[in-house]
Amino acid sequence: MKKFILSASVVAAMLAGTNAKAQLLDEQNVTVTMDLQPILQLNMNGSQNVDFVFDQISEYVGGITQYGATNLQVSSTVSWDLYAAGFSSNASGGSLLWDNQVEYGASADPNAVTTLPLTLLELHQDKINSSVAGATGTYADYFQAFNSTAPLGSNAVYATSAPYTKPAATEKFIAGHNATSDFIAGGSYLILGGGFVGNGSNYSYTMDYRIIPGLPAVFPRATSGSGNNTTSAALNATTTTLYAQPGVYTMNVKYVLVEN
Amino acid sequence: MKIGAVGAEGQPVSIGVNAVTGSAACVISASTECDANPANSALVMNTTTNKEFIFDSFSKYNGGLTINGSTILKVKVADNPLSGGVCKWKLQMAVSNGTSPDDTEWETLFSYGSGSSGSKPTLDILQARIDNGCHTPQNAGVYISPFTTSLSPGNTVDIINTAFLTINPGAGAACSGGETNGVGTYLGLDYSEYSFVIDYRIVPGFDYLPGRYEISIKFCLTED
Repeated sequence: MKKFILSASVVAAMLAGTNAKAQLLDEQNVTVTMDLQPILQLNMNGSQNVDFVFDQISEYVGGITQYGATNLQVSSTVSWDLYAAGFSSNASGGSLLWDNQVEYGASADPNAVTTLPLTLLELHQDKINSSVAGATGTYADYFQAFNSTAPLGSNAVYATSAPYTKPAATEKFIAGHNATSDFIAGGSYLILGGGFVGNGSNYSYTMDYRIIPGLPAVFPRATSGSGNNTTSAALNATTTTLYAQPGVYTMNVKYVLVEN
Repeated sequence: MKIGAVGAEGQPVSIGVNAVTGSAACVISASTECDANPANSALVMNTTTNKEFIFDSFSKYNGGLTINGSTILKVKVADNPLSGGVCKWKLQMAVSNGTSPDDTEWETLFSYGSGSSGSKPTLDILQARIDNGCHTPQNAGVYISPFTTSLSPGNTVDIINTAFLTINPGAGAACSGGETNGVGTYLGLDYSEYSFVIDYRIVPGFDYLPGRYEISIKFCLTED
């Protein structure tokens, strides 16, 4: 009995002691996960087919210009670059030429050729590329005005057989450039930024197109190579006896928006 | 570090408090005026413990995402029957960013894309709005960025404490005032003073690296 009383006293003392030192502390935890998925959104307004029909002598000589045929609008959550790539089925095979769909006439003249370089197509963008510090080519963008005295290659489209490979520092970009330090920051044409919004911002570009066949049709504005140089294309550089075979030709321009 | 407390009925209460770099911990008061028995005093949360913000459209990046009422906390606090003092409690929140080497950024689980656009998101982009029926919390009903400073042990944000008491007896029968951080329970007549609804909002904008990020928020009920 004596032992029982002693044991009970010890237990009571322990309980009393722990109660005196007890501290209120309770907690609950919440885990917050944030998934920031990269979004690059390019809207293209305007017809997907831009037709140039040369059926007047004046059009051969003076060319045809399609003003504002394409409007590009960018919304991006990451820094981005935008470029145009002239492409065709021939280009995918390594020849930077238009695809000839139909030949008009007897096609008997050996000087009439269907090897039209992609670079005969010229582009003009409505506002200057604001981020080209790392560009090394003669022309960093397509902002040079369309006029009769524009230097050769100033507006020739960048032609390539690899349209999804970012162009080199020597080529033209519409916005941003090859260097990682040349980019447009994430944003949208829908949001006021730098005092501009909509078509006035760096997130919207209006593109003009021009083709000047010349007479004879040697396409004097075409350049050799990918487009950003001042050397004339083979059609009129090697001999003046070659000219374009009348017919239907097609190519396409890919506007590529990429993360910087 | 493990802190063990023993309740009045001898039930062990084991609370893990992470005191490593990148975590803020609950601050334990030396006072023992409140009953530590979890049957009598507790912080109850029956809502889900995972909140997921998925930004997969431009409008979500620009306008943000809000999760309303996703955390509901309920408090019950009793006097320590062995103490003659007055029990006062406080409710705090703290943040942890796991293994992040920077104590101002979210923990990166993985990154998307080239990883060259922008910086890692900072803790202050999380906004919280804490309120109850009696509007007793600090900044009640207003979105705030609670975690605006670097993490360090003990760097917590007070929701309820003695130094800041809002007594709003005119707000309804369940808001008699006086019990804002005193003894009481969400099961009693003044239930509004012991319940807290927390809304979360994130507006990331376009400055941050795409990726999956995580933080942990700790809500602490301690004596004041």
